[in-house]
Amino acid sequence: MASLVFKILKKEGTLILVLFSFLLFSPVYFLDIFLIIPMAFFLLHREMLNLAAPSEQNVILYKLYGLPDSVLLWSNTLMILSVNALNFTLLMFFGLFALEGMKSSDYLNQLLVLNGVLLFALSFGNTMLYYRLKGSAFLILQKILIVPLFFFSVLLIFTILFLLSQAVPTLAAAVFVMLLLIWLTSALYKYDRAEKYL
Amino acid sequence: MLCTNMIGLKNISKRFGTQTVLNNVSLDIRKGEIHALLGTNGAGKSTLIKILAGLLPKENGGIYYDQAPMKTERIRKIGFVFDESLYLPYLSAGEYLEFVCRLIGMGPKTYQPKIDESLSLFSLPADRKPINTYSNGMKSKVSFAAAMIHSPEFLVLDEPFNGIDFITTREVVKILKQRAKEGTGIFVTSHQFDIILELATHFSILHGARIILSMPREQLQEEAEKLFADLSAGEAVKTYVENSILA
Repeated sequence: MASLVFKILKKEGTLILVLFSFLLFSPVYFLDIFLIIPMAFFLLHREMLNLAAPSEQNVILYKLYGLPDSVLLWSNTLMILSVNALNFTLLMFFGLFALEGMKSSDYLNQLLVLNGVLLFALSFGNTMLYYRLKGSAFLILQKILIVPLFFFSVLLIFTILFLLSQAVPTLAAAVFVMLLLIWLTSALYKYDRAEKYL
Repeated sequence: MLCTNMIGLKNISKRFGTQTVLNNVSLDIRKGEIHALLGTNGAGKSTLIKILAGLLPKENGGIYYDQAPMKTERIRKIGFVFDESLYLPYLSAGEYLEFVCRLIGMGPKTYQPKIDESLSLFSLPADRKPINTYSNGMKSKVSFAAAMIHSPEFLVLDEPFNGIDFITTREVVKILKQRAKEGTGIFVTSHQFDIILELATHFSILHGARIILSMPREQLQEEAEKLFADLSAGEAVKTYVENSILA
């Protein structure tokens, strides 16, 4: 299942191309490590939305045959792994260009903000998927609304977490734990356990 | 009498804005029968099938399987083919069938022989070429193969022959007849009356948001031949159906 999910992730999005262009032209090397986060989300939003809030054909398939836990779990895990791998690679490049090197506390803060936003984004996608599975599979308006709503809320959470991590790191950690719990709830919710389907 | 092995649609209603598309529509589809739903464009046939598949919510009414409300595990006993072929374009036929099997909950040992069998039955390529490079006929065969991969008890087909060449249509019709003989219940809508006439064992007509006629083939043929004795059996049925809609 992992290989099929990865293929869907790769083919429905633009993962490889944007990753290469980002590595070549990224302004991150000269600016700030935190800039990686909104940039990474901007680049990877199609992959996130395609699996967590997927295309109409996927929604129809899930509605017809059910949504096994493994699909959601693999898609979420692959997103977490790929975003963190992207982040790690970019930070490595950044380390080469930074004159003073990187403090470990800065790195941990960045990881907390990145993964906090990532967990929120995945929870958002999972929730949207459940919402579409419960209602009509065909409302195009939903898709039009989902993308701007996704960007707005992800940027909002990024700003909150970033400011908190700079001013009150303990509170930022508490928000991160809350986001982790929300994501766990959304990822482990058993769609197939819903008794009444029609 | 308590009927088992059937799908029951009871008093299904659906509105789009102020337009009522389905008004208390009730139908029974039994195992082993090929039930054709006829109607003009926009009569609500596709809407009814999308409601049956759970893709569209309904205003009221119920869907039953063996007299019990339809649930997720029951809907997996039905294979669906829609007017637009359903597939993931970047996967090959084999990969797509594997994905569907995984969604249904089959393990590799169960699904691999079934995939091989389906690919051969529908003459689909076993290579890694993505489905979006296939012809329309082949794409349609992929949809059929996916709908039948788990040997469902029922097949629900919405305009399944749209945009398919006559050779593919003949191949699919042959497979459908074989499945019906083996006991699969088939519910089909199509504008291609000749194919429907060849296939169906039960006819229903949806018109004005209601079912205006529902009867087995023999009864329909008998009544049509009584009224249009000068026509051939097929023409008589066709005229009878046209007149029912026009009336």
